[in-house]
Amino acid sequence: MGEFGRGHLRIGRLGTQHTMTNAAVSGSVPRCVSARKGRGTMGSSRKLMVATLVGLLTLVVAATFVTGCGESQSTTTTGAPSSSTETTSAQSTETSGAPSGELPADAPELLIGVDASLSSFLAPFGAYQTWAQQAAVDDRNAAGGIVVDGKAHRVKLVIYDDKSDGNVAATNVDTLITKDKVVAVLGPIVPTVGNPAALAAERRGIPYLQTGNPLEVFREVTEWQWAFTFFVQLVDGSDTVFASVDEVKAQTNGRVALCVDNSPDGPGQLAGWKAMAEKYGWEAVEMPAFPMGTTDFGSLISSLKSANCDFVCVMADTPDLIALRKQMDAAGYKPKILQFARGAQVQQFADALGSLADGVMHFSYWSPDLPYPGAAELGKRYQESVGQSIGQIVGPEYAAAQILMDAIAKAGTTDPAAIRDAIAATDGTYVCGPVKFAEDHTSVMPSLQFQWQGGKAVIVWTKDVANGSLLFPLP
Amino acid sequence: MPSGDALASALISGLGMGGLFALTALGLSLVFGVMRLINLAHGEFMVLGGYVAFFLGRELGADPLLAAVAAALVVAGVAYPIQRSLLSPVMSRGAGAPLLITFGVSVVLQNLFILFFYPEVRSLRAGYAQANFEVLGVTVPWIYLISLAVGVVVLGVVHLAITRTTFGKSLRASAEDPAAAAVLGVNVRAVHALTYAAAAAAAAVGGVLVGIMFSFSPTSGTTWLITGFAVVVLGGAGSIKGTLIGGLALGVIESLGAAFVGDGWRAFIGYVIFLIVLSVRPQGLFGRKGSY
Repeated sequence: MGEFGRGHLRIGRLGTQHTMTNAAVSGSVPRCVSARKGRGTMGSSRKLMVATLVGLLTLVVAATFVTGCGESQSTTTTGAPSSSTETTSAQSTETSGAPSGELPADAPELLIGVDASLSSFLAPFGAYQTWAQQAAVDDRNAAGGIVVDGKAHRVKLVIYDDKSDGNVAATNVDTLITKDKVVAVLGPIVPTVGNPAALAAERRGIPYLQTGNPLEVFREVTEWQWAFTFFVQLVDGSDTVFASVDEVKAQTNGRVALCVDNSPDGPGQLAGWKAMAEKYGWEAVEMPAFPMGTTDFGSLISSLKSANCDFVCVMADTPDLIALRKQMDAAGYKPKILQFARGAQVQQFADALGSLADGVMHFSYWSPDLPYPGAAELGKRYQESVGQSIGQIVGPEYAAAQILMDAIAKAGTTDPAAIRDAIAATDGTYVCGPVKFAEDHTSVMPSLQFQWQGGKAVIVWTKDVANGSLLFPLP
Repeated sequence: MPSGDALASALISGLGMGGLFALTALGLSLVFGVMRLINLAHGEFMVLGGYVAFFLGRELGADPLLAAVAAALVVAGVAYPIQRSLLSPVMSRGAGAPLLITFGVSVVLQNLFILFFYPEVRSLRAGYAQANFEVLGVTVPWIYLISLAVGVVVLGVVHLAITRTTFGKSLRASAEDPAAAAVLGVNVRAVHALTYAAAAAAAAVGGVLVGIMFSFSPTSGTTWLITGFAVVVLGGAGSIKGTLIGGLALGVIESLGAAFVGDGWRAFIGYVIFLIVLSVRPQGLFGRKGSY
């Protein structure tokens, strides 16, 4: 192989003496060539160009509308399900106080504010949140709405997009309260946007409820007066990793390898795993952090082989974990227990790997398979409505709207303090499980361990809600 | 100091990755060499190739490597009208306009992928992707050999096409001196369009291999575009030999570097070597002085 023009293979130009402008490369000269071929060629080329441009622009506009990117404010139901009298609503065991029967067409509206991350990197969560909360509202309206001050009201969500930005989230909540006059706010998930939004509601003295915010993080912010959250505790998540395999520990060499990527939550996850490994009597071997987006895990796999650990815990994003699992198998490396955090929770992980996903464990907190009222129906409804696998946050987000509407109904008024006190008094089993707020305004959701078996996420821990047995060792 | 086995494994994976790097960079090198255009939509052509193979596999049960042929044809079929209708008319207006158009095409394709295929991570399943064999106690994954072989074969075919065919002569003439080529009857505009389509086809094959070895999503093309740039610049823009050697060098350097100091330093080491080479030979390993 060599260069062009010298009997070799080179595609570039020979040298500076031949250097030409771009115009010469493909502008004036090719035009002359084309001109020799007549007007027809130029005409058809122009038509083709116009047609392609129009087509591309149409597709861009369509894509923008469908994906909802860039929507900064909406009072419509972004990504929401259509109301259907055939769908079964997920009922809670709380006494809702809601009226029965249909709402009159002229029923007054009761506005609930929603801040959600509908664009940028948290957008998938925002889509789940708004779908679930709109589904809960549709169900409530189909059941007669909420009686406030003796009159049935139609619940309406006012949805703002925080663009995955905490500052925008806080501004949105301010706007929802001061301009839209909502009676309460449902917040976004993830602390980086959830906490600023909660603080904004706190400053304005308006009831605020969110999920998807680890309780330890939420508790550290302030002594909450108006904001509530229900979710898992990070410490419980790490505990389940080791508790779920405690009964098979005797069949291993008692060594666990801990690997995390270099994401911001990597050190915290590593510390949690190390503490729990010690608690459950595992000898922990810490691996160097690897970069997010790693494609070749050859070096890590060699290190894992050398470490001789029967139990391997890795935290990374979905594409990285898919690549790692493939390469582990290609390299003939198979520990007895494989725990993949963060990226293995989604169905696409199992879909991408097929049988290679079997036996891989992961932490989670909700599934339609949980034995809670309405969980299975919600999963089926999401599948039929959206056509994709359900996200684990859908159940808690549906419950958040349920809890808030139950509280408003119990309060029977839009007085913020009365609604807040009703939220604080919540004590029932919802689609996400039992919810009862402690004095610090948090309610703990159970942390669970799932294992991929035959393309399905089977609950293997905790035992009280498990719907399958632990597959051991890794097939 | 890593063991001998670990070093051998790193070398094998580095060569496999290098073959993939070279393959994914080939299209960039072709387009830049012939059209002096940086094709920012290159990564999306790779991803499109992955999707074609994915759906052929799911609907027809086609093996990913066989589906790569169809993917190459489909992606070339998409790229050709884009070049003729969008790029060709503005090639005379400086480097900025065509560059922006390829950026626009990249954004449009990413949005279309999200619209039609959802922002999910996909992967191509093949039994040989996980198969391995042992040589002197070192486990050798088949997929690395396949990746290296496909890379070398595709680059070899392109080499033959350029050196042994009439189209190759036209391509070389268009690259060397478009004005003279046009005077001699070469349809430079058609050559550019076919080159763009061929580059997209090569990208599609690379995208299929990425799907087999790793995974892909609507936005994953950008990562491979950046790697491709590094390979092209390292090897020397417009040089097939440079692309192959540049790809293999980057793959092996990164892999051996990771074996010595850990995966966290993989990219760092690769790009430090890359910068050192460029400081000594700004035109790349096999480029000519003044080509930039």
